[in-house]
Amino acid sequence: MEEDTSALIVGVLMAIFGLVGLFLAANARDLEMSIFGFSLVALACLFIFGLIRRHYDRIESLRITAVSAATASSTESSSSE
Amino acid sequence: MSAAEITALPAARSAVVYNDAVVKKFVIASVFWAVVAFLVGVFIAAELAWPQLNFWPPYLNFGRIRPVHTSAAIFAFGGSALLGTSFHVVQRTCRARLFGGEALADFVFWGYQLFIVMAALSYVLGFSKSREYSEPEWHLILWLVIVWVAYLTIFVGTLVKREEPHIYVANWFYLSFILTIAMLVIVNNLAIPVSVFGAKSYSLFSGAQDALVQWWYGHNAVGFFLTAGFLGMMYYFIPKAANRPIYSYRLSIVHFWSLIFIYIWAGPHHLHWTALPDWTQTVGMAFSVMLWMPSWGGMINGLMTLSGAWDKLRTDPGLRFSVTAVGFYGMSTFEGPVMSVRTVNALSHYTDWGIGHVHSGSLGWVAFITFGAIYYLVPALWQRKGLYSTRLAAWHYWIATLGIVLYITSMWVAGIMEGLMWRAYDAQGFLQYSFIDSINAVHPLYVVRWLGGMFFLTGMLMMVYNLFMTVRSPSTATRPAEAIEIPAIVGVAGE
Repeated sequence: MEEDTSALIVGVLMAIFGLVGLFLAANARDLEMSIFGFSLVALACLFIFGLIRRHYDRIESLRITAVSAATASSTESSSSE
Repeated sequence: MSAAEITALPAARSAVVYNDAVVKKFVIASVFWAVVAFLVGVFIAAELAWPQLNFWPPYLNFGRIRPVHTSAAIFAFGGSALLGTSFHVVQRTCRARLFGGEALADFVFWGYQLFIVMAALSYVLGFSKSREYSEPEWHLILWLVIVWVAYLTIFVGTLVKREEPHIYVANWFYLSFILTIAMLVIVNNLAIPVSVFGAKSYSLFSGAQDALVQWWYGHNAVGFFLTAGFLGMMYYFIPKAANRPIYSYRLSIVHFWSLIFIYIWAGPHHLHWTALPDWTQTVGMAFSVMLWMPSWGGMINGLMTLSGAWDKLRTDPGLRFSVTAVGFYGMSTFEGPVMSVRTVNALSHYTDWGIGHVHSGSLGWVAFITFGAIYYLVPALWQRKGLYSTRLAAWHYWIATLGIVLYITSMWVAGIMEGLMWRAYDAQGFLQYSFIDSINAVHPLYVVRWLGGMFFLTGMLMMVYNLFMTVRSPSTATRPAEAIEIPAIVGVAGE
């Protein structure tokens, strides 16, 4: 629960930072601000992709755990019969 | 509670799954940035010894590269080590997983790394606020504040949800580092940008006030970033590596409160003999001299923790690094108050003595205590039997120590020589030496300093190889049953 809430809040914040980066890069008056803006966008995109990947990895691992537990219990019940 | 009860205690508690992934990332980043910081340091030392190296494209001249070295050493290498170890220590001593989940911890890691890379890039491109140890322009400071608030949230949140009733002293040091750095960074960087879309900004302060705010920040960056934070590291990793409790827990509390109360006033000693009012200079000097006692209280506590375990120094190079670091801490915290005395400062200020003093602290104390912690952490975090080669770690220790000795002695001699040459008068009352005379006189010592830096860098490269092989080599692999277990009786708190 804490992980999901945290990912959601941080994900939204990163999306906002990415947008801010876009504005900074688009209106930049010097090279420094332009590089910072684009870097912020790149970090935000990669970070959000990372959050999505981790979310599906977690679902996958829960599914695998559930399937193995179900298989183990059915093997146990058939051997006891 | 009897020993048997204490030993039985963890079995009755539920296991806590710690967030070690973020600690590992910070350890890797710290080692990487150490190499960068030392490499750039060696290059700028060469630029000072052989000035023709400056006549390259402007990106590599001393003025732009020097803040890359200081920021890489302090904020990238030291900062990554502090953030990583604080996350490790707060989880273990509170028996609680990091607050805020993996996403927030990862944000702190990647956000901090973005700040470091952007800051270094901005210096190379010629953007700087020209405030020592605080060169990044306003937009990067704003980003750092956001990351820092997230860091504080995780740390305090973990303390709040702790399962241990007591907050172990290392956490007090880490917390003072986090809170004070936030306050210092915000005040020192109050500035008005020329444009929201431009990097250039101007300080809100001016003249002597500006200088005082800058050195209030500058000295407390040393006090709370390079001292309090690393003392947190000392109070956890030395007892762990020595397998002994702290010599005196009461002394550690006295050390903490006296240190943080006194440190914050010492900044004006950087501005002796300037336009700063005399009484302010005297306050800075008096508090700097007072600072000697809590500093040595901490040193004694760190060293005496080894009572009954001194033999471990022969077999554990990581612990040897930590204990030598405490020795250097004692030495540089004695030298600092001496240099803060106005009459001594008249000789030492603006000379290379200051550079020698800073490096006895940063190489001897900060780098060595970090090396000790990393040599302890890597086998523990990656679940390995031990280091790939303790012999190589011992070589690292000796070559790095030799490097420091070469560095600081050459800078002492250079600094005192410069100070004496600049104040020498002839019989007619004219200055006896021109400035260039003093530069020519210290040239051989600059070469020795460069050599000392090369030694330190070589030792670091040995460490990188040793750590890489510790993680990768089959010879250090453990079976799950052999994974490092820490008995509760020797845990510093909560373990």
